[in-house]
Amino acid sequence: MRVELTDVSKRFGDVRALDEVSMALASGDRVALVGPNGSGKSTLVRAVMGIVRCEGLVRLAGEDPFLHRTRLASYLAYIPQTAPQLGATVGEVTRAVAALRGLAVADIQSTATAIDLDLDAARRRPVRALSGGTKQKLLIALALAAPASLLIMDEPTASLDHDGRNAFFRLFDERAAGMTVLLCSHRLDEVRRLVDRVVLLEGGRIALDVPVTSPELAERLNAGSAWREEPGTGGRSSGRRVS
Amino acid sequence: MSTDPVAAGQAPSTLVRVGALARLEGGEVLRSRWLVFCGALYAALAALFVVVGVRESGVMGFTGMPRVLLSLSHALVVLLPLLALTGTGPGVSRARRDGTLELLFSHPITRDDYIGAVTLVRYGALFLPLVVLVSGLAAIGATVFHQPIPWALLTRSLVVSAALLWSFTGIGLAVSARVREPERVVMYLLLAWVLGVALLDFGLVGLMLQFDLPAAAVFILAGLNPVETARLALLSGTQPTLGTLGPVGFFLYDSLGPARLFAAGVMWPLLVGSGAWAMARWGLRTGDLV
Repeated sequence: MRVELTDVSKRFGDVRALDEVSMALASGDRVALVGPNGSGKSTLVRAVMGIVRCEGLVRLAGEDPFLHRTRLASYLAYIPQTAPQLGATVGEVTRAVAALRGLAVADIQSTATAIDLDLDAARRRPVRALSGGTKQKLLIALALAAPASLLIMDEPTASLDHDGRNAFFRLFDERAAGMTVLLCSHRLDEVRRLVDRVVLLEGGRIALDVPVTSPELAERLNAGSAWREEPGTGGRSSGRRVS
Repeated sequence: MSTDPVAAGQAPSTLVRVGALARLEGGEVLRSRWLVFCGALYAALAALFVVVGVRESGVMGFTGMPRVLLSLSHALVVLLPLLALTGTGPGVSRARRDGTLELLFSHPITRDDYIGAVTLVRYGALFLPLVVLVSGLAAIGATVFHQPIPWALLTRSLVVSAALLWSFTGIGLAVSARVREPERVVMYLLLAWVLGVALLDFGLVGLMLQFDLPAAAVFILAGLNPVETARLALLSGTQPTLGTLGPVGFFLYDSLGPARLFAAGVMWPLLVGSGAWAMARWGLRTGDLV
């Protein structure tokens, strides 16, 4: 799915969250949004999802996502960073998402199994009672079970351990083939593993838009002001984070 | 687009979407402390009025079970708005704050699906226990105390309660959908309840005498208050006096007669609730969802 933003701005009171942002993702592009807290990453993602109204033009496959959100949401898969504090049980949430997406519950179950989540065991537990990692796996299973053309992820592995992260990467490789991907992340391993292009946001503006292999990006990383080492992360990834 | 769930015929119908959201919302409500509080309050009130009420002393000509029902309904006129406001007020606002809306609206649902499901579930959670309570009281009166079931009063109580609950469910949802800061949500909800209870004509007449408030203002303020009109609708079937109805109520009773007063007393809260609900819907349709 093609994504286009032209001179997109958004204000929350006196705060300018996005300031005339323009960018485009061709169908199948994989782009990471990086930048410090408050740089506008979440607002930009929400504008693309059509849940905030912005100045300027936002288009998904040529349509305004705010006006045609319901139809476009059928093509969207979204993994939020944190799960809402739902009192509903895992079983209730799973059945609701299955109904809304026209899926069988077994589709979500098989996706959950692929990421080492036993949905049957967690079925009767309220979502808010799950551990951070289990919640994150549930969100991933709910998002990746349905066919989609645009995958939006906000720190999808932030609460996962090393094995969980590797399981997610395998599932991503399997399910996200051909999808347009928009990733918000502070984690360098995620960015390098999942996308081809990086957009750095600062103060609601695009400060850098380069391939993930760009020396300019590496320069920013090595400068150390915007990125820092995250202790305790293992594996082959560097585990560094954008602060 | 590489994948087309809509073209593949997977897009769910409105009924399926609202049903799925209602079950989710039902899960929330069933596990919330608010429903427990609401049920406990209903039960405590019922027990209280049964214990002190089923005697041969009279209230406005009513004795026994009719007296219990009338006293209970009268107490509920003041309490139902508070229950409706606390039950619906935080709903949308909390869902917006904790990311529930962001997650739900990443799926193909409309804003109307969401507000419809929330309204159905929250209103049902308030009204259905009340139906059980009032019917249960009547059944206890018939089986334990061998008293005839006061069908007319029972129906009147339920109709008035349904209208009043709708009024404040609408107001609660409007505040919840349009106000973002939780502190302001609580402040507006409390203000709505205090105004509803304070603007009964007894209180207004006191103000009129204290501050030279014009009589016309007292009539207008009392007449526009859904709590007052619901109270008048409840009492319109009795043989009310100036002392029980208050001056505004007595004037309206005298001018309209019991049937029209009942109709007006039910219609006005329904109108207020529908207007407020429309504001909630409009707020969700036009504003940001997070």
